[in-house]
Amino acid sequence: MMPVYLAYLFSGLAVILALSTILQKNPVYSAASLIGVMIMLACDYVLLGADFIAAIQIIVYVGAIMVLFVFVIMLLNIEQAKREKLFIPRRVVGVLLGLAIFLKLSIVGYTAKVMLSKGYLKIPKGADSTTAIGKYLFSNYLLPFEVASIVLLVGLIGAVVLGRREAK
Amino acid sequence: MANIDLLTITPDIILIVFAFALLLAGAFSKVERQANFNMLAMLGFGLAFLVNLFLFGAKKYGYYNMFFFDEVAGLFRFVFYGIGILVALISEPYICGKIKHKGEYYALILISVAGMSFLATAYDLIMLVLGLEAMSLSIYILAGMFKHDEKSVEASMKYFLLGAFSTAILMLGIAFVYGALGTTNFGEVVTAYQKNLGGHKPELLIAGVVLVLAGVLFKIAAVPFHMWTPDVYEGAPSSVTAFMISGVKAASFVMLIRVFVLGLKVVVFDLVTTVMVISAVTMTLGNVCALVQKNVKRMLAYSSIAHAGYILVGFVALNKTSLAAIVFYLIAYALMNIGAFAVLVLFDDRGNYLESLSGSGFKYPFLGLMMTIFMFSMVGLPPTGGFMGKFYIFKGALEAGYVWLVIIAVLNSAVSAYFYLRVLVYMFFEDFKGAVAPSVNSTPTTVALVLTSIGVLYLGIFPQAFFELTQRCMTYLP
Repeated sequence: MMPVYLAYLFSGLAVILALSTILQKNPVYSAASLIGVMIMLACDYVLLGADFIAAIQIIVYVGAIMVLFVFVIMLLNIEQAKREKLFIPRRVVGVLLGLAIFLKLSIVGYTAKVMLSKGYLKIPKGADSTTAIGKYLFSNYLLPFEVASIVLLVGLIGAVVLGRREAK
Repeated sequence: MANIDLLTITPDIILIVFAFALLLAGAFSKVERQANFNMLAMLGFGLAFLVNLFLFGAKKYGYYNMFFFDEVAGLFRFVFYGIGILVALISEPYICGKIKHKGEYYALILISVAGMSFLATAYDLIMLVLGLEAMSLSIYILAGMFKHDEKSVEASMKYFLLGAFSTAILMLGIAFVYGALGTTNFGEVVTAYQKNLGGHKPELLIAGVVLVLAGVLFKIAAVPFHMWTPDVYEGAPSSVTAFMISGVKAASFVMLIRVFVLGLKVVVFDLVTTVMVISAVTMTLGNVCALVQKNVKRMLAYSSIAHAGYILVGFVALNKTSLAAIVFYLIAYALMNIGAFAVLVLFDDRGNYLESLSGSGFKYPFLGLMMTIFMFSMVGLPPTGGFMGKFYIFKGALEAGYVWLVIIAVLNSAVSAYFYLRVLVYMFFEDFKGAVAPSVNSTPTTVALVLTSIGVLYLGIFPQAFFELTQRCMTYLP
């Protein structure tokens, strides 16, 4: 059961990096740790056989969103955070919200496990998800795929038309 | 069943190609030389109309059952392309000099109509959402096209935020429906209902259907979801308001019919009571609020809420007559609204307030006559299309036995006579104050006025042939 040990390894690393994200003083180190978390999660997705989501995770989160984070940090020239006391009252809200999300995800995970053991949910074996998604995208969902491109085009036009500065 | 048949979506491809052409032409030409852009847009709509005429009558599934072209879809495509032609006609004199992005303006109208057309041919909830978004996003942008007018920007922002919210609700509903049935395809709903659910309706399915209904009713502007209507219709450029009030209304009703009568027909009878109450409240509230409006655009916005109530009566009755009457009513409604807005557009927004219209009826007899026809049609007086539309809707409702709903609707129509005819009172029985004058280059708008008034009168005087056509096309119910 090699994948299980690997899963523990990647998940453990993800937790350590996540802690590093919130405990680092230098915001650039925090951002770098967050990138590490994303990559570790992508590794977990690969182990689960969801290689398409793993690739999207790397491309979108690491490639686009985190780079934006780092850009903003660099551009604003944020100085090192001052050392704060670890326990201040407003953090209680954050801790509670974190616990709530943890509880919710635990419930989702448990439900999925029950569903799997009852045979209600099935994980397709032997299929690689990129091929499957590609096949669906260009057969069953061909027309929606094309119309979605029109919808995106409208968004682009809107950004240009409404965002452009006009001399009165 | 792949059936990737390009011919059936040719009208929409034509519209999108023309939209691209206009975008490029707008980018590479000077604003002064863009006066004929509306002709190009009209050419696009005209071609699409002709191709649809050629396709009309066929029944075609396509694109792995994402797409179903039938008589209803064909009929609604005619409505949308016709609205496109009329709006392109009334736009040019109005936006000339006010909008610098003419290419984008017409391109967005073309794409929006293509979205409506995809809505009308959708056979899967995914296609429905994409068609709806192509239509709505274009209109959010169009509403804010007067960038130096605070009200226009406000309208755009308001409509965008609320519209995005309503789409989110619609999507949540679709997710619930998918969770309950295991399919989003209209063709598989009945089998999935019998096989996966064993003929039971779990709460999840009902919750999903109610959320989908809420999303659709938002676009229709029925009562609990009508709050955006007056501000958006008043703030948006008048030509865009004419487009919204006719096109979006027709598109949302075709969405209502296709989702609930063709698609999720297993639950449609569970919704009738809800829609009945909504319909009664909608028409009453729309009419009562319209009574006190001083601004004609705002008054027409509330009147559009009231008309949505009348048309919903047709959905409540749910028989062949009433569904055909919905199509008939929508066409008459589109014609009279575009006509009324064409008059406002011709006065270049200076006649938006009732006082400023004073005396303009005798000063400009042609416009006075036109406004008379359209206002009579809105009240529902013979011999206009509005009267016949209401007649057929009420006939369908009486056949289904909803007598009290018809009584409420008739009382409402009587109330509505006050504020529609008040416009005419100001136009004909007050002294002219010189507040309004038609814009200089008015030929296209005049053509649109003539076309819409002929349409309204034709539907009012010879409704039989047309109504039989809509009845023959409405094949969803026996």
